[in-house]
Amino acid sequence: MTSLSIKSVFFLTLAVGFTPSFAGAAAGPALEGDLGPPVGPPIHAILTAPPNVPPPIHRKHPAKVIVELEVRELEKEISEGVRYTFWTFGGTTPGSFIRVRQGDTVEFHLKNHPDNKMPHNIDLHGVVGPGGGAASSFTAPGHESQFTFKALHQGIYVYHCATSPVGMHIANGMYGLMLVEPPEGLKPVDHEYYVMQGDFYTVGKYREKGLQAFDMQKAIDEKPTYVLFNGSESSLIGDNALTAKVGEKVRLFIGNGGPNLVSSFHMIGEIFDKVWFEGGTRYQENVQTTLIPSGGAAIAEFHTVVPGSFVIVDHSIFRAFNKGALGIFKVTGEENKLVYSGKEVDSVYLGDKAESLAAVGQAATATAEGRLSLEEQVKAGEALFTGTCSVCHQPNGQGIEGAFPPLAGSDLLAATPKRAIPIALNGLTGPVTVNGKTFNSVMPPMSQLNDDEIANILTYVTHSWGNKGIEPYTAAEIKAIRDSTARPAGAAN
Amino acid sequence: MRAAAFLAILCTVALADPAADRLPVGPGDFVSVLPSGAVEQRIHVERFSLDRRPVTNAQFLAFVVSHPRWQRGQTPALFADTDYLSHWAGPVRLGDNAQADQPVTRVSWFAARAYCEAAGGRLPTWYEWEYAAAADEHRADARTDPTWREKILDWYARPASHPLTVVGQDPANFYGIQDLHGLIWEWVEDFNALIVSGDSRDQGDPDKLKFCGAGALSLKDKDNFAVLMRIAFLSALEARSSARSLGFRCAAGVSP
Amino acid sequence: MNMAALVGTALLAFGLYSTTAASADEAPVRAHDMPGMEDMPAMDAIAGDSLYQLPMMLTSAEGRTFKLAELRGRPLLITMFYSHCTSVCPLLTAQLQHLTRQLAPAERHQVRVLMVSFDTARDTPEVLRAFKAEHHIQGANWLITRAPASDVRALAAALGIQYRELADHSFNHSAVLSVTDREGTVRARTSQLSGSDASFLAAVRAQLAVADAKP
Repeated sequence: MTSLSIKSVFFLTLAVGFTPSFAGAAAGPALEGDLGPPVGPPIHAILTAPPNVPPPIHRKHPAKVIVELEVRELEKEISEGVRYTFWTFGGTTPGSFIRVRQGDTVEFHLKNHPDNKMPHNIDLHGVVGPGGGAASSFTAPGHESQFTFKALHQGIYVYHCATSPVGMHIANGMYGLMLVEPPEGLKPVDHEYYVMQGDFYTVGKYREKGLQAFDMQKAIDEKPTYVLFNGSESSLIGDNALTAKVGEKVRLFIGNGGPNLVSSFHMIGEIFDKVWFEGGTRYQENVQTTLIPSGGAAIAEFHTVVPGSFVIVDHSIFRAFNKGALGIFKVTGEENKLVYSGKEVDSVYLGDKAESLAAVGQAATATAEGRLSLEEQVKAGEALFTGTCSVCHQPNGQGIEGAFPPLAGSDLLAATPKRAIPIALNGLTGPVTVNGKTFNSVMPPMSQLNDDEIANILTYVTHSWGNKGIEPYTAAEIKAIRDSTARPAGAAN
Repeated sequence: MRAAAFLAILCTVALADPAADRLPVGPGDFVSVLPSGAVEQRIHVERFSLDRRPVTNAQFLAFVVSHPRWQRGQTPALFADTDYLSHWAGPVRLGDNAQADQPVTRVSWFAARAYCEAAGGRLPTWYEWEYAAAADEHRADARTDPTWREKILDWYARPASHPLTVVGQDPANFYGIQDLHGLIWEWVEDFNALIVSGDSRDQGDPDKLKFCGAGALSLKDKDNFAVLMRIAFLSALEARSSARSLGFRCAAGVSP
Repeated sequence: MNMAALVGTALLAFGLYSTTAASADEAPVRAHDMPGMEDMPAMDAIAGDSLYQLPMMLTSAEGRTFKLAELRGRPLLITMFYSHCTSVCPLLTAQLQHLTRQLAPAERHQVRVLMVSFDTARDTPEVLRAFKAEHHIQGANWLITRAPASDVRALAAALGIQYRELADHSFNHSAVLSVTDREGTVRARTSQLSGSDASFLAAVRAQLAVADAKP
């Protein structure tokens, strides 16, 4: 049950007492960005969960807008089979999207649900005032705070919790975006979407199953376990992919909550027509990758020309493939061969990601229950192979002549199947001969995969493309090699 | 009839010899997260005794029965808000949502203080609480041990909607005291001495006029999230407010 | 505790439980209805959220000791300070004086000002008298006081004032000025230390208007 605290009554009294003098102030020299007193009855702001955005504002005068935002501490899935306790504004990470117009008077209510353990507050980067509102909104669980501000500047602004320790509150997902529309509004487009990147720090390794706790030391060392869009690995893929049709205009409101990393935001196969870099008033045109600072935001617009799945990544690319900073924008409609004629590369290496996770999850459950079948291993292994190994060894295991050895019909695998284990864990450099041909490349260690995952991948490889007669691999034997061999410098686990 | 007799026994047990369940702590010196002035000094804690465990629903029930002024509905609004003991089935009935051996929560600072006074003690000060809570099972000061910190951060990750466990489940610390971590937030006597500005990033930017003299002093050891969060929580409270995961225990000894 | 006391407590507890259990969901027993407590003030007459619920004794600069509740009946301007404070408290005192000067003479006589020291140990009546003289505080309506440390903590908690004694015996504290109605319920607060807080002044006046309206 929430109750108004003395603090909020105090501010209420101030606000009520202030209103007459406010109207009087409008008569004097106006503040820059102040478009005058609110007109008409108060409006209750529509808040939306990501990736959706509230509808554009059509009114032509400033108004009083009431925003009611509730903080919830919730256990949610951060990756398949991996759970994390998020601290959220409005039940989501990122938090609810707030949309107001320049000159609006915003009456902000911050509620801290009684089920929460921690006190919270809010710093809105779009607020001109001490702490961006944080000083006036420090709220204990089961209480509500209120403060009022005028949105003097247009732009797209990050908001986040600023309660000590600030880094931990942000790392647990307490950030979101507030859009202050210019008085004339934004040009109409067909779709508007809300995407926010964040880095996450867990005690367990990447994709280690179960409930994971926040790792304070990793956060201080700036070594994230996950880098994600909209708070989870699956938030923008499969059924959750962003969508549009060919020939449409799209606007992305993109934020970066941090707490630590900056984002090199890129859409594979698309070019941004306009980017309001840093969320400011000027835009750049024809942009491939835009830098979004931690605690910053940008607006990007593009128009769709050909159908396909366009992958959204942080182009610090290991974050995309090894930490989860990946999403899909799916465009449907007529092909335009003159613009793009090739086959869809991404449907192989990433479009199936949703199915891949399902098979992996199923295998994990089966393993836990002690009844993993060969079929389940092969299915899970295929999904993982597709996402990780096929880039070099190719989806059909053929490898690439002169560069990467084949796995299909490999005489090396047939003769010494167990040799595959240290190669998978520790990588391989130097010459190796397979099927009469010598290869001399560098295979990076894949030790970020866990024992089950490597066992499943190797089982799939040795049961595909004509490979046969090799016993399935077990997680135990992978672990034995992992424990008894040294990892190269820089490799995980 | 049986219930009344049971309750009478409860009262006598609870009030008969409270000193038996308090253990000695200190004297000692330590560096607190909360500095005592511009120049860093070690804080001296005089010998005091601290309840082995937090006060339970059963103990608090016995108290409100013998002190009706502190029953829900009777307590003046200055001393408790409408959430006070709201999880009890009635003013003198625990009910299903409040087990006898769970720590009592949803109590205000004034109520906690009154209980401790009736039990021949007082609330511990922040320094006393911090001093006792710095211990793990083996030593008096485990605060730099990552295991100590992780255990505490683990508790913060669990939302308060999970039911509280009963007191005394955790192994005792160096002083024999239990449940200083991992169960509930606890009131201290000087909760309103924890001057942290509402915006925690103001540390190091003393607004001399806001807090007179030194300003809101910077917290030491910003890496010690475990302790910082306790201070942040207590500093967000009003004396009459209560919270689902906020309880208390009593101390005794000369008031510092 | 000896056996007799134990049994006595048990019986008392049992007796109290019986009385309360019987009326568990009806109007509960009041403190001053209990045997041996008839001489306590009729507490249901004081508002639940009034500061006068606090049973605290104050000692003034003149050496007079009185109960806080004795101030009931007139609006009260209340704040906390300490005499050897050099930054905020002088401003707080000046602000109080500025505020009272803005009241009409008739209004000024109606309001009482209470300042309670954080520094129980050092702010003796003698020191408080010197403080009064230094700040030219006159009039019977302006009380500069000290109280036992535990009561000071409770009053600050009730007023939402934070304070902490530092190693050099100065105090880190917030500056809040509150005004109560005649019954002791806080009606407005301000932390403004310079200039004039118009809305707070208006709140003070409003309490005085109520006071005047009563017979």
